[in-house]
Amino acid sequence: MSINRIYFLGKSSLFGLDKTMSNITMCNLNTSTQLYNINPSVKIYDYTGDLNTNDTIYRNFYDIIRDTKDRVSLHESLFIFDLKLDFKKEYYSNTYEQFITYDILNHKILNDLAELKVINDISPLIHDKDIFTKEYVRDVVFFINFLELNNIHYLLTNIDKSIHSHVKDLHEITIKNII
Amino acid sequence: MSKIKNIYCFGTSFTKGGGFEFDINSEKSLFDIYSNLGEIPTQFNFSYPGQLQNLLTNVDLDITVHNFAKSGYGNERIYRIIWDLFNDKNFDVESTLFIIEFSDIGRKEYYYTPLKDFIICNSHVDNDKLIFHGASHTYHSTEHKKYNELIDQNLYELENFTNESIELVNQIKLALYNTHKLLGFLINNKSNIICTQPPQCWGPPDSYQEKYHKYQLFDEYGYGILQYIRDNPSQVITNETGGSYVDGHGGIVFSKTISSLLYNKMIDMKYIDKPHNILDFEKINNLKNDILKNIKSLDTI
Repeated sequence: MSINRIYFLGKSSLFGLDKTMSNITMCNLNTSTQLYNINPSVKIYDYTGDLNTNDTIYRNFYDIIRDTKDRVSLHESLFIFDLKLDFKKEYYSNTYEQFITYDILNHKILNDLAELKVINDISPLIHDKDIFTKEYVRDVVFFINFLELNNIHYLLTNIDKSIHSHVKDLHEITIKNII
Repeated sequence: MSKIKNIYCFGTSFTKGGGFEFDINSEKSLFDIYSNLGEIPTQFNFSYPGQLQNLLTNVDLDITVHNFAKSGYGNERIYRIIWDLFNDKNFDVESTLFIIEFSDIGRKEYYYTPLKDFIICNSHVDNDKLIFHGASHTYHSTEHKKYNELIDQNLYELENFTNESIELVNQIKLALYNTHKLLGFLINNKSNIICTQPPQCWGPPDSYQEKYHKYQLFDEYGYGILQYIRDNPSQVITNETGGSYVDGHGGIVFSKTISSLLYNKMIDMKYIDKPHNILDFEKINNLKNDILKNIKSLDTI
C-alpha cells in the first residue's frame, strides 16, 4: 500500500518548510522511503504553525483522525510530527475565544495579543521546568504507543533524546533529511 | 496461583471509599452505624479495592491491592502515577493489574510550586460552561490542613485562571485524547487492565475505542460504576443507612458487589485461576439488616 497523504504537524522547524512534492521527494526521505512507498502524486496537508505547541499537535492530530466528514484512510497516510521539547503550553482563552501559546519559562503569551493578567499572576505558581519536562516525555511516549497500537504511519523529528530510553525503534528523521 | 502480584487502583472518591472517612470523622455515628459487621472500620476496607483485597486473601492469593484513588482528583493523577510506576526500577508489567475508574471532566491538576506537589482544581458545568468551585491538596483531611491553607492564599488567582482557561468542549476533547493516549500506552505495553469506569467523554464507540471494550468491568458499552450506582440507588450510603448518614457515595454493599464483579472479571480475563465468586445475597441482605439494626439501637439511646 502506498502513501497517498502526508500530514505535517509541527511548529517552527516544519513551519517554514516548502512542502511541495518536489521537496518532499528530495527529502532524501532516506528513512521514510525505506519504510514507506510514497505515491508521486501524494497530497500534502500542512498543519504547521509558528506558535504551535505539542498540545496543538496532539489536538490537530486527533481532530484529523476523528474527522467524520473527511474520513482519513490511515493505512495510506503518513504523519510527520515535530515534537520538540520547547517549554510552551497551549491554553484556551475564554477572553479571546482562541487558543494561546504560553512560554512557561518567560511567563509570557507569545501570540500577538495583550497579556492576560489572570495567566501571568498564576504562572510562576503552576509552571515548573522539571515537571514540564517529565510530562513532555510521558506524553510523547504515550502518544507514540497510541500510534503504534493503531498501526498509524509516522515519522518524528526534533524529538528529545530522553525519549530513546523509553521507546525502541523510534521512527525518526532529522530536518536535514527532510529538506 | 496467579500471575498478578500487585493491583493498582486509580480513580475518584468512588474508588477511594468516599463517605467512609473513619480516620477523620469525629462523628461517632459513622463508626456506630457500621459497627458489628465483621468489617475493620477503615476507608480502605470499606472501599471496593479493600473488599477485593479481602476476596483475594480469602482464597490464599498472594496479591497486594494498592489504592491510589484520591477524592476530588481526576484523570491527570492517573496518567502521572501510572507513568511513575512504569519508570520504577522494580516495576513488572506482567505481574501488575491496573484497575481504573476514569473521572468526568472538570478536574484539573496543577503542580503547585509553593507546595512542590500537585493540587486539584474542580469545576462544574453550568449552562454549558465550566465554573470553578474549589481547589485542594487533599479533601477531607485534617492532616493536610496547612497544605490547603497555602492553596487558599492563591485561591482567587486559581479561580480566575481556571475560569479563563477551561472551556467545556475543549476539556472534553482533551480528556478524550489523553485517555486514548494512556490506554494506547497500556495496551501496547501488554498491561493487564480493568476499567471500572470508562471515560465519560468518549461518546459513541469508534474504531479506537472498540479496542478497549474488553477491559470494561461491565459489558454494556460506556457503563461503569457511576451508572451502576445510579441504577442501584439502594446501595448509596444515604439509602443504605436509611437516611441516617447522608452521603452520595456507594456504601458497603456497593463495595462488596463491585469487588465481587472485579474478582470474576479477573478470572474471565485469565488474570487469576480460581472458581467464580458467587455473591451471597442472603449475606448481603443480612448486612443491610445489621446496618439498620445499628441505626435503630442508636435511635433508642
